[in-house]
Amino acid sequence: MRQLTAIAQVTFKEGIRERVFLGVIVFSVLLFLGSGFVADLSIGNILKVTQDIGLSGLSFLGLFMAIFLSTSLIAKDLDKKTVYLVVSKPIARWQYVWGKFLGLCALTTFALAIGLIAFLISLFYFWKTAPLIQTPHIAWTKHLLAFIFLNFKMFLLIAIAIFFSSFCSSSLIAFFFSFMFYLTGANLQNVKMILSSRLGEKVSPYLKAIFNFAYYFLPNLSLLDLKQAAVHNLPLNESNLILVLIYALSYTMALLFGASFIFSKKELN
Amino acid sequence: MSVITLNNISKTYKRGLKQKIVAVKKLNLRVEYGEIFGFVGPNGAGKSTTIKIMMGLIFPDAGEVQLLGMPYTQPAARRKVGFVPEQPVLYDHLSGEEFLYFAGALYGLSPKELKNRVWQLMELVGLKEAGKRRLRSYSKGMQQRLVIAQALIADPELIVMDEPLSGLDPVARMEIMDLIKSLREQKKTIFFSSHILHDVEMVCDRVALLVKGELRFLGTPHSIEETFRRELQECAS
Repeated sequence: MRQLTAIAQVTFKEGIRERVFLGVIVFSVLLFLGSGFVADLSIGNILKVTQDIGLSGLSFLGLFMAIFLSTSLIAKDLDKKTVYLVVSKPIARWQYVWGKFLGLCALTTFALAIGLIAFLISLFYFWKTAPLIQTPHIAWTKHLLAFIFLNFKMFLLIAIAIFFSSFCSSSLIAFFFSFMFYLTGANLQNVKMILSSRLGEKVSPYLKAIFNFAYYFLPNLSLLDLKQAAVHNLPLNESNLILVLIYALSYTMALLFGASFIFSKKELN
Repeated sequence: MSVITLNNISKTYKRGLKQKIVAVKKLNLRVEYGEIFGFVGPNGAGKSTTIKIMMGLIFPDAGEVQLLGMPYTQPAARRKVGFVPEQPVLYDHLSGEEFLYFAGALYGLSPKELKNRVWQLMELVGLKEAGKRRLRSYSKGMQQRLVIAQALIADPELIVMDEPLSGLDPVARMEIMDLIKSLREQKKTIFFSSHILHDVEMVCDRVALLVKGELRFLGTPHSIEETFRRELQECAS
Protein backbone atom coordinates (compact mmCIF):
# COMPACT_ATOMS: atom_id res chain seq x y z
CA MET A 1 0.00 0.00 0.00
CA ARG A 2 2.87 2.37 0.88
CA GLN A 3 4.38 1.80 -2.59
CA LEU A 4 1.07 2.56 -4.27
CA THR A 5 0.62 5.78 -2.30
CA ALA A 6 4.20 6.85 -3.02
CA ILE A 7 3.73 6.45 -6.79
CA ALA A 8 0.40 8.31 -6.61
CA GLN A 9 1.96 11.15 -4.60
CA VAL A 10 4.90 11.57 -6.97
CA THR A 11 2.57 11.52 -10.00
CA PHE A 12 0.45 14.22 -8.37
CA LYS A 13 3.48 16.36 -7.44
CA GLU A 14 5.05 16.01 -10.88
CA GLY A 15 1.76 16.91 -12.56
CA ILE A 16 0.95 19.86 -10.35
CA ARG A 17 4.41 21.37 -10.85
CA GLU A 18 4.24 21.09 -14.65
CA ARG A 19 4.04 24.49 -16.34
CA VAL A 20 1.34 23.20 -18.67
CA PHE A 21 -0.82 22.33 -15.67
CA LEU A 22 -0.44 25.78 -14.12
CA GLY A 23 -1.09 27.46 -17.48
CA VAL A 24 -4.29 25.50 -18.03
CA ILE A 25 -5.52 26.20 -14.51
CA VAL A 26 -4.94 29.97 -14.80
CA PHE A 27 -6.62 30.02 -18.23
CA SER A 28 -9.60 28.00 -16.96
CA VAL A 29 -10.09 30.19 -13.89
CA LEU A 30 -10.09 33.32 -16.07
CA LEU A 31 -12.51 31.64 -18.47
CA PHE A 32 -14.92 30.65 -15.69
CA LEU A 33 -14.79 34.06 -14.04
CA GLY A 34 -15.48 35.66 -17.39
CA SER A 35 -18.19 33.19 -18.45
CA GLY A 36 -20.97 35.43 -17.11
CA PHE A 37 -19.74 38.35 -19.17
CA VAL A 38 -19.70 36.16 -22.28
CA ALA A 39 -23.23 34.99 -21.41
CA ASP A 40 -24.27 38.62 -21.07
CA LEU A 41 -23.69 39.03 -24.82
CA SER A 42 -26.10 36.19 -25.61
CA ILE A 43 -29.83 36.53 -26.23
CA GLY A 44 -30.96 33.80 -23.85
CA ASN A 45 -31.16 33.57 -20.08
CA ILE A 46 -27.78 34.78 -18.74
CA LEU A 47 -27.83 32.36 -15.83
CA LYS A 48 -28.54 29.32 -17.98
CA VAL A 49 -25.86 30.31 -20.51
CA THR A 50 -23.39 30.90 -17.66
CA GLN A 51 -24.13 27.43 -16.28
CA ASP A 52 -23.81 25.91 -19.74
CA ILE A 53 -20.45 27.57 -20.40
CA GLY A 54 -19.20 26.75 -16.92
CA LEU A 55 -20.06 23.05 -16.98
CA SER A 56 -18.79 22.65 -20.55
CA GLY A 57 -15.57 24.41 -19.54
CA LEU A 58 -15.15 22.03 -16.61
CA SER A 59 -15.66 19.14 -18.98
CA PHE A 60 -12.92 20.42 -21.32
CA LEU A 61 -10.58 21.06 -18.41
CA GLY A 62 -11.10 17.51 -17.18
CA LEU A 63 -10.65 16.12 -20.68
CA PHE A 64 -7.31 17.89 -21.02
CA MET A 65 -6.14 16.60 -17.64
CA ALA A 66 -7.43 13.08 -18.15
CA ILE A 67 -6.12 12.43 -21.64
CA PHE A 68 -3.35 14.85 -22.49
CA LEU A 69 -1.63 15.02 -19.10
CA SER A 70 -2.08 11.28 -18.42
CA THR A 71 -0.57 10.13 -21.70
CA SER A 72 2.25 12.68 -21.55
CA LEU A 73 3.23 11.95 -17.92
CA ILE A 74 3.31 8.18 -18.51
CA ALA A 75 5.20 8.60 -21.80
CA LYS A 76 7.72 10.81 -20.00
CA ASP A 77 8.36 8.02 -17.50
CA LEU A 78 8.80 5.42 -20.22
CA ASP A 79 10.72 7.46 -22.81
CA LYS A 80 13.15 8.99 -20.36
CA LYS A 81 13.56 5.67 -18.54
CA THR A 82 12.60 7.16 -15.18
CA VAL A 83 10.42 4.07 -14.86
CA TYR A 84 13.63 1.99 -14.40
CA LEU A 85 14.07 3.59 -11.01
CA VAL A 86 10.53 2.61 -10.02
CA VAL A 87 9.93 -0.90 -11.33
CA SER A 88 13.40 -2.11 -10.32
CA LYS A 89 12.28 -1.68 -6.71
CA PRO A 90 10.43 -4.46 -4.82
CA ILE A 91 7.08 -3.59 -6.37
CA ALA A 92 4.84 -5.44 -8.80
CA ARG A 93 4.13 -3.81 -12.15
CA TRP A 94 0.41 -3.55 -11.36
CA GLN A 95 1.30 -1.28 -8.43
CA TYR A 96 2.94 1.14 -10.85
CA VAL A 97 -0.20 1.18 -13.04
CA TRP A 98 -2.61 1.68 -10.13
CA GLY A 99 -0.34 4.21 -8.43
CA LYS A 100 -0.21 6.28 -11.61
CA PHE A 101 -3.99 6.02 -11.93
CA LEU A 102 -4.61 7.23 -8.37
CA GLY A 103 -2.15 10.11 -8.78
CA LEU A 104 -3.73 11.21 -12.05
CA CYS A 105 -7.23 10.97 -10.55
CA ALA A 106 -6.14 13.19 -7.64
CA LEU A 107 -4.56 15.64 -10.08
CA THR A 108 -7.68 15.82 -12.25
CA THR A 109 -10.02 16.17 -9.27
CA PHE A 110 -7.82 18.93 -7.88
CA ALA A 111 -7.88 20.81 -11.21
CA LEU A 112 -11.64 20.35 -11.53
CA ALA A 113 -12.18 21.55 -7.95
CA ILE A 114 -10.28 24.78 -8.68
CA GLY A 115 -12.32 25.21 -11.86
CA LEU A 116 -15.55 24.51 -9.95
CA ILE A 117 -14.78 27.16 -7.33
CA ALA A 118 -14.13 29.78 -10.04
CA PHE A 119 -17.31 28.71 -11.85
CA LEU A 120 -19.41 28.86 -8.66
CA ILE A 121 -18.08 32.34 -7.80
CA SER A 122 -19.06 33.53 -11.25
CA LEU A 123 -22.46 31.79 -11.09
CA PHE A 124 -23.20 33.12 -7.62
CA TYR A 125 -22.37 36.67 -8.71
CA PHE A 126 -24.73 36.54 -11.70
CA TRP A 127 -27.41 34.77 -9.67
CA LYS A 128 -27.39 37.63 -7.17
CA THR A 129 -27.34 40.34 -9.85
CA ALA A 130 -29.65 38.70 -12.42
CA PRO A 131 -32.73 40.73 -13.42
CA LEU A 132 -35.91 39.50 -11.73
CA ILE A 133 -37.50 38.82 -15.10
CA GLN A 134 -35.18 35.85 -15.49
CA THR A 135 -35.66 32.66 -13.43
CA PRO A 136 -33.25 32.93 -10.50
CA HIS A 137 -33.59 29.27 -9.54
CA ILE A 138 -30.38 27.23 -9.72
CA ALA A 139 -30.38 23.47 -9.01
CA TRP A 140 -27.31 23.50 -6.75
CA THR A 141 -27.60 19.81 -5.76
CA LYS A 142 -27.78 18.77 -9.39
CA HIS A 143 -24.72 20.90 -10.11
CA LEU A 144 -22.88 19.03 -7.37
CA LEU A 145 -24.07 15.70 -8.81
CA ALA A 146 -22.99 16.78 -12.29
CA PHE A 147 -19.54 17.60 -10.85
CA ILE A 148 -19.26 14.20 -9.12
CA PHE A 149 -20.28 12.36 -12.27
CA LEU A 150 -17.87 14.47 -14.31
CA ASN A 151 -15.09 13.24 -12.00
CA PHE A 152 -16.10 9.62 -12.56
CA LYS A 153 -16.13 10.25 -16.30
CA MET A 154 -12.59 11.59 -16.02
CA PHE A 155 -11.46 8.58 -13.96
CA LEU A 156 -12.75 6.39 -16.76
CA LEU A 157 -10.91 8.50 -19.34
CA ILE A 158 -7.69 8.29 -17.29
CA ALA A 159 -8.07 4.49 -17.24
CA ILE A 160 -8.53 4.58 -21.04
CA ALA A 161 -5.40 6.74 -21.42
CA ILE A 162 -3.39 4.40 -19.16
CA PHE A 163 -4.69 1.37 -21.04
CA PHE A 164 -3.50 2.73 -24.39
CA SER A 165 -0.23 4.00 -22.89
CA SER A 166 0.51 0.47 -21.64
CA PHE A 167 1.10 -0.83 -25.15
CA CYS A 168 1.29 2.09 -27.62
CA SER A 169 4.82 2.89 -28.72
CA SER A 170 4.38 6.66 -28.50
CA SER A 171 2.37 9.10 -26.41
CA LEU A 172 0.89 10.64 -29.57
CA ILE A 173 -0.66 7.32 -30.61
CA ALA A 174 -1.94 6.71 -27.07
CA PHE A 175 -3.40 10.22 -27.02
CA PHE A 176 -5.03 9.73 -30.43
CA PHE A 177 -6.67 6.41 -29.48
CA SER A 178 -7.83 7.78 -26.12
CA PHE A 179 -9.33 10.84 -27.76
CA MET A 180 -11.09 8.71 -30.38
CA PHE A 181 -12.49 6.57 -27.56
CA TYR A 182 -13.72 9.73 -25.86
CA LEU A 183 -15.36 11.11 -29.01
CA THR A 184 -17.06 7.81 -29.76
CA GLY A 185 -18.11 7.24 -26.14
CA ALA A 186 -19.54 10.73 -25.80
CA ASN A 187 -21.71 10.35 -28.91
CA LEU A 188 -22.89 6.74 -28.68
CA GLN A 189 -26.25 7.69 -27.18
CA ASN A 190 -26.97 10.32 -29.84
CA VAL A 191 -26.12 7.95 -32.68
CA LYS A 192 -28.33 5.24 -31.14
CA MET A 193 -31.22 7.72 -31.02
CA ILE A 194 -30.71 8.63 -34.68
CA LEU A 195 -30.51 4.98 -35.70
CA SER A 196 -33.75 4.17 -33.83
CA SER A 197 -35.55 7.05 -35.51
CA ARG A 198 -36.94 7.11 -39.05
CA LEU A 199 -33.56 8.34 -40.30
CA GLY A 200 -32.05 5.04 -39.23
CA GLU A 201 -34.24 3.05 -41.60
CA LYS A 202 -31.96 4.02 -44.50
CA VAL A 203 -28.79 2.79 -42.76
CA SER A 204 -27.43 -0.58 -43.88
CA PRO A 205 -27.96 -3.50 -41.45
CA TYR A 206 -24.19 -4.22 -41.46
CA LEU A 207 -23.45 -0.69 -40.27
CA LYS A 208 -26.14 -1.07 -37.62
CA ALA A 209 -24.55 -4.34 -36.46
CA ILE A 210 -21.13 -2.64 -36.19
CA PHE A 211 -22.72 0.19 -34.24
CA ASN A 212 -24.53 -2.20 -31.91
CA PHE A 213 -21.23 -3.93 -31.17
CA ALA A 214 -19.60 -0.54 -30.46
CA TYR A 215 -22.55 0.53 -28.33
CA TYR A 216 -22.20 -2.40 -25.95
CA PHE A 217 -18.40 -2.64 -26.11
CA LEU A 218 -17.24 0.98 -25.88
CA PRO A 219 -17.77 3.11 -22.77
CA ASN A 220 -20.98 5.12 -22.96
CA LEU A 221 -19.67 8.40 -21.59
CA SER A 222 -22.87 10.33 -22.26
CA LEU A 223 -24.48 8.45 -19.36
CA LEU A 224 -22.12 10.29 -17.03
CA ASP A 225 -22.98 13.70 -18.46
CA LEU A 226 -25.53 15.40 -16.19
CA LYS A 227 -24.94 18.89 -17.58
CA GLN A 228 -28.38 19.29 -19.15
CA ALA A 229 -30.13 17.99 -16.03
CA ALA A 230 -28.23 20.50 -13.88
CA VAL A 231 -28.71 23.52 -16.16
CA HIS A 232 -32.41 22.90 -16.95
CA ASN A 233 -33.23 21.27 -13.60
CA LEU A 234 -34.48 18.06 -15.23
CA PRO A 235 -35.64 15.16 -13.04
CA LEU A 236 -33.07 12.44 -12.25
CA ASN A 237 -33.70 8.79 -11.45
CA GLU A 238 -31.68 7.87 -8.34
CA SER A 239 -31.48 4.12 -8.96
CA ASN A 240 -30.45 4.82 -12.54
CA LEU A 241 -27.66 7.06 -11.32
CA ILE A 242 -26.34 4.33 -9.02
CA LEU A 243 -26.33 1.86 -11.91
CA VAL A 244 -24.43 4.35 -14.05
CA LEU A 245 -21.82 4.77 -11.32
CA ILE A 246 -21.42 0.98 -11.01
CA TYR A 247 -21.09 0.78 -14.80
CA ALA A 248 -18.39 3.50 -14.86
CA LEU A 249 -16.44 1.95 -11.98
CA SER A 250 -16.62 -1.54 -13.49
CA TYR A 251 -15.40 -0.27 -16.86
CA THR A 252 -12.57 1.67 -15.18
CA MET A 253 -11.48 -1.39 -13.18
CA ALA A 254 -11.61 -3.65 -16.24
CA LEU A 255 -9.36 -1.24 -18.17
CA LEU A 256 -6.92 -1.00 -15.27
CA PHE A 257 -6.74 -4.78 -14.92
CA GLY A 258 -6.11 -4.98 -18.69
CA ALA A 259 -3.42 -2.29 -18.49
CA SER A 260 -1.79 -4.02 -15.49
CA PHE A 261 -1.67 -7.33 -17.37
CA ILE A 262 -0.19 -5.76 -20.52
CA PHE A 263 2.31 -3.70 -18.52
CA SER A 264 3.45 -6.77 -16.57
CA LYS A 265 4.44 -8.37 -19.90
CA LYS A 266 5.95 -5.21 -21.36
CA GLU A 267 9.67 -5.12 -22.08
CA LEU A 268 11.09 -1.87 -20.74
CA ASN A 269 13.93 -1.36 -23.20
CA MET B 1 24.08 -19.52 -2.08
CA SER B 2 25.28 -16.86 -4.54
CA VAL B 3 24.04 -13.28 -4.58
CA ILE B 4 23.45 -13.40 -8.33
CA THR B 5 22.91 -16.60 -10.30
CA LEU B 6 22.49 -16.55 -14.06
CA ASN B 7 21.88 -19.96 -15.61
CA ASN B 8 21.95 -20.23 -19.41
CA ILE B 9 20.46 -16.79 -20.05
CA SER B 10 19.66 -16.00 -23.66
CA LYS B 11 18.01 -12.97 -25.16
CA THR B 12 17.31 -12.11 -28.79
CA TYR B 13 15.87 -8.86 -30.07
CA LYS B 14 13.80 -8.65 -33.21
CA ARG B 15 14.63 -5.86 -35.64
CA GLY B 16 12.06 -5.49 -38.36
CA LEU B 17 10.16 -8.54 -39.51
CA LYS B 18 12.96 -11.00 -40.10
CA GLN B 19 16.22 -9.76 -38.59
CA LYS B 20 17.15 -11.08 -35.16
CA ILE B 21 19.97 -9.82 -32.98
CA VAL B 22 21.40 -12.08 -30.33
CA ALA B 23 22.08 -9.84 -27.33
CA VAL B 24 22.96 -12.52 -24.78
CA LYS B 25 23.82 -16.15 -25.53
CA LYS B 26 23.65 -18.90 -22.91
CA LEU B 27 25.24 -16.81 -20.19
CA ASN B 28 26.22 -18.51 -16.93
CA LEU B 29 27.46 -16.39 -14.06
CA ARG B 30 27.64 -16.44 -10.27
CA VAL B 31 28.45 -13.49 -8.06
CA GLU B 32 29.37 -14.23 -4.45
CA TYR B 33 28.69 -12.28 -1.25
CA GLY B 34 30.91 -9.28 -0.52
CA GLU B 35 32.72 -9.14 -3.85
CA ILE B 36 32.92 -6.30 -6.31
CA PHE B 37 32.23 -7.95 -9.59
CA GLY B 38 33.22 -6.20 -12.81
CA PHE B 39 31.17 -6.77 -15.92
CA VAL B 40 33.06 -5.47 -18.93
CA GLY B 41 32.73 -5.58 -22.66
CA PRO B 42 32.64 -3.27 -25.66
CA ASN B 43 29.52 -1.27 -26.47
CA GLY B 44 26.73 -3.55 -27.63
CA ALA B 45 28.20 -6.61 -25.90
CA GLY B 46 24.97 -7.33 -24.02
CA LYS B 47 25.93 -5.90 -20.61
CA SER B 48 22.90 -3.63 -20.24
CA THR B 49 20.59 -6.36 -21.55
CA THR B 50 21.90 -8.75 -18.88
CA ILE B 51 21.41 -6.12 -16.18
CA LYS B 52 17.90 -5.28 -17.38
CA ILE B 53 17.03 -8.98 -17.20
CA MET B 54 18.43 -9.20 -13.66
CA MET B 55 16.36 -6.19 -12.59
CA GLY B 56 13.15 -7.54 -14.16
CA LEU B 57 12.90 -4.77 -16.77
CA ILE B 58 13.00 -7.21 -19.67
CA PHE B 59 12.55 -10.96 -19.83
CA PRO B 60 14.99 -13.62 -21.08
CA ASP B 61 14.01 -15.98 -23.90
CA ALA B 62 15.57 -18.83 -21.95
CA GLY B 63 17.41 -19.44 -18.70
CA GLU B 64 17.01 -18.81 -15.01
CA VAL B 65 17.90 -15.76 -12.91
CA GLN B 66 18.10 -15.63 -9.14
CA LEU B 67 18.84 -12.68 -6.89
CA LEU B 68 19.72 -13.50 -3.29
CA GLY B 69 18.35 -16.99 -3.81
CA MET B 70 14.96 -15.91 -5.15
CA PRO B 71 13.61 -15.90 -8.73
CA TYR B 72 14.10 -12.43 -10.23
CA THR B 73 10.41 -12.15 -11.16
CA GLN B 74 9.39 -11.95 -7.49
CA PRO B 75 9.35 -8.35 -6.22
CA ALA B 76 10.67 -9.67 -2.89
CA ALA B 77 13.92 -10.65 -4.67
CA ARG B 78 14.64 -6.94 -5.14
CA ARG B 79 14.01 -6.00 -1.50
CA LYS B 80 17.74 -5.97 -0.70
CA VAL B 81 18.89 -4.85 -4.13
CA GLY B 82 19.82 -1.31 -5.16
CA PHE B 83 19.99 -0.40 -8.83
CA VAL B 84 21.89 2.38 -10.59
CA PRO B 85 20.68 2.44 -14.21
CA GLU B 86 22.68 3.94 -17.05
CA GLN B 87 22.00 7.68 -17.34
CA PRO B 88 18.42 7.75 -16.11
CA VAL B 89 16.36 10.94 -16.21
CA LEU B 90 14.94 11.82 -12.82
CA TYR B 91 11.65 13.50 -11.92
CA ASP B 92 12.44 17.15 -12.78
CA HIS B 93 10.03 18.73 -10.36
CA LEU B 94 10.96 16.79 -7.22
CA SER B 95 13.70 17.89 -4.83
CA GLY B 96 16.58 15.57 -3.98
CA GLU B 97 15.05 14.96 -0.56
CA GLU B 98 11.61 14.15 -2.00
CA PHE B 99 13.18 11.76 -4.49
CA LEU B 100 14.98 9.80 -1.75
CA TYR B 101 11.77 9.63 0.32
CA PHE B 102 10.02 8.30 -2.76
CA ALA B 103 12.72 5.66 -3.37
CA GLY B 104 12.53 4.61 0.28
CA ALA B 105 8.75 4.34 0.19
CA LEU B 106 9.05 2.02 -2.83
CA TYR B 107 11.05 -0.30 -0.56
CA GLY B 108 8.18 -0.11 1.93
CA LEU B 109 10.01 2.15 4.40
CA SER B 110 8.00 4.64 6.46
CA PRO B 111 8.81 8.40 6.56
CA LYS B 112 9.87 7.89 10.20
CA GLU B 113 12.38 5.21 9.18
CA LEU B 114 13.63 7.38 6.35
CA LYS B 115 14.01 10.63 8.27
CA ASN B 116 17.65 10.12 9.27
CA ARG B 117 18.58 7.81 6.42
CA VAL B 118 17.74 10.36 3.71
CA TRP B 119 20.05 13.04 5.10
CA GLN B 120 22.81 10.54 5.96
CA LEU B 121 22.85 9.50 2.32
CA MET B 122 22.67 13.08 1.12
CA GLU B 123 25.79 13.74 3.15
CA LEU B 124 27.48 10.55 1.95
CA VAL B 125 27.08 11.53 -1.71
CA GLY B 126 27.88 15.20 -1.03
CA LEU B 127 24.43 16.61 -1.79
CA LYS B 128 23.40 17.86 1.63
CA GLU B 129 23.44 21.50 0.54
CA ALA B 130 21.37 20.74 -2.57
CA GLY B 131 18.85 18.46 -0.89
CA LYS B 132 15.95 20.91 -1.05
CA ARG B 133 16.61 21.99 -4.63
CA ARG B 134 14.58 20.72 -7.58
CA LEU B 135 16.29 17.97 -9.58
CA ARG B 136 16.13 19.89 -12.85
CA SER B 137 18.75 22.25 -11.40
CA TYR B 138 21.17 19.36 -10.65
CA SER B 139 24.24 18.80 -12.83
CA LYS B 140 24.79 15.40 -14.40
CA GLY B 141 27.31 14.47 -11.71
CA MET B 142 24.88 15.47 -8.95
CA GLN B 143 22.08 13.45 -10.55
CA GLN B 144 24.34 10.41 -10.76
CA ARG B 145 25.28 10.75 -7.09
CA LEU B 146 21.61 11.00 -6.17
CA VAL B 147 20.87 7.86 -8.20
CA ILE B 148 23.55 6.07 -6.20
CA ALA B 149 22.03 7.41 -2.98
CA GLN B 150 18.58 6.08 -3.93
CA ALA B 151 20.15 2.68 -4.61
CA LEU B 152 21.49 2.65 -1.05
CA ILE B 153 18.31 3.86 0.65
CA ALA B 154 17.17 0.45 1.92
CA ASP B 155 20.68 -0.62 2.99
CA PRO B 156 20.89 -3.25 0.22
CA GLU B 157 23.10 -6.33 0.19
CA LEU B 158 23.57 -6.10 -3.57
CA ILE B 159 24.08 -2.96 -5.66
CA VAL B 160 23.85 -3.30 -9.42
CA MET B 161 25.51 -0.44 -11.31
CA ASP B 162 25.18 -0.04 -15.05
CA GLU B 163 27.93 2.26 -16.37
CA PRO B 164 27.83 4.49 -13.27
CA LEU B 165 30.78 6.57 -14.48
CA SER B 166 29.66 7.28 -18.03
CA GLY B 167 29.47 10.93 -18.99
CA LEU B 168 30.98 12.18 -15.74
CA ASP B 169 33.89 14.60 -15.39
CA PRO B 170 37.14 13.35 -13.78
CA VAL B 171 36.32 14.80 -10.34
CA ALA B 172 32.86 13.18 -10.26
CA ARG B 173 34.40 9.89 -11.45
CA MET B 174 36.91 9.93 -8.61
CA GLU B 175 34.18 10.69 -6.07
CA ILE B 176 32.03 7.80 -7.25
CA MET B 177 35.03 5.46 -7.30
CA ASP B 178 35.76 6.43 -3.69
CA LEU B 179 32.12 5.78 -2.84
CA ILE B 180 32.30 2.30 -4.38
CA LYS B 181 35.46 1.60 -2.37
CA SER B 182 33.71 2.70 0.83
CA LEU B 183 30.85 0.31 0.03
CA ARG B 184 33.37 -2.51 -0.20
CA GLU B 185 34.37 -1.74 3.38
CA GLN B 186 30.71 -2.15 4.37
CA LYS B 187 30.83 -5.68 2.82
CA LYS B 188 28.31 -4.84 0.12
CA THR B 189 28.20 -6.92 -3.03
CA ILE B 190 28.57 -4.75 -6.12
CA PHE B 191 27.88 -5.70 -9.70
CA PHE B 192 29.73 -3.04 -11.67
CA SER B 193 29.24 -2.78 -15.41
CA SER B 194 31.57 -0.72 -17.60
CA HIS B 195 33.10 -0.68 -21.04
CA ILE B 196 36.27 0.92 -19.65
CA LEU B 197 38.69 -1.71 -18.42
CA HIS B 198 40.69 0.71 -16.30
CA ASP B 199 37.63 1.58 -14.16
CA VAL B 200 36.99 -2.07 -13.46
CA GLU B 201 40.63 -2.84 -12.69
CA MET B 202 40.67 -0.11 -10.05
CA VAL B 203 37.94 -1.55 -7.83
CA CYS B 204 36.89 -5.08 -8.79
CA ASP B 205 37.80 -8.40 -7.21
CA ARG B 206 36.64 -10.48 -10.17
CA VAL B 207 35.80 -9.61 -13.74
CA ALA B 208 33.68 -11.13 -16.47
CA LEU B 209 34.22 -10.15 -20.09
CA LEU B 210 31.22 -10.24 -22.37
CA VAL B 211 31.62 -10.00 -26.14
CA LYS B 212 28.73 -10.32 -28.59
CA GLY B 213 26.56 -11.71 -25.81
CA GLU B 214 28.98 -14.47 -24.86
CA LEU B 215 31.15 -14.86 -21.81
CA ARG B 216 34.76 -14.80 -22.99
CA PHE B 217 36.65 -14.42 -19.74
CA LEU B 218 36.09 -14.81 -16.02
CA GLY B 219 38.90 -14.14 -13.57
CA THR B 220 40.92 -11.51 -11.75
CA PRO B 221 41.26 -7.99 -13.20
CA HIS B 222 45.01 -8.37 -13.66
CA SER B 223 44.71 -11.32 -15.98
CA ILE B 224 41.98 -9.85 -18.16
CA GLU B 225 43.91 -7.14 -20.00
CA GLU B 226 45.40 -9.36 -22.69
CA THR B 227 42.09 -11.15 -23.35
CA PHE B 228 40.26 -7.82 -23.47
CA ARG B 229 42.72 -6.38 -25.99
CA ARG B 230 42.47 -9.49 -28.18
CA GLU B 231 38.67 -9.43 -28.07
CA LEU B 232 38.57 -5.73 -28.91
CA GLN B 233 40.80 -6.34 -31.93
CA GLU B 234 38.47 -9.14 -32.96
CA CYS B 235 35.47 -6.84 -32.62
CA ALA B 236 37.18 -4.14 -34.67
CA SER B 237 38.16 -6.54 -37.48
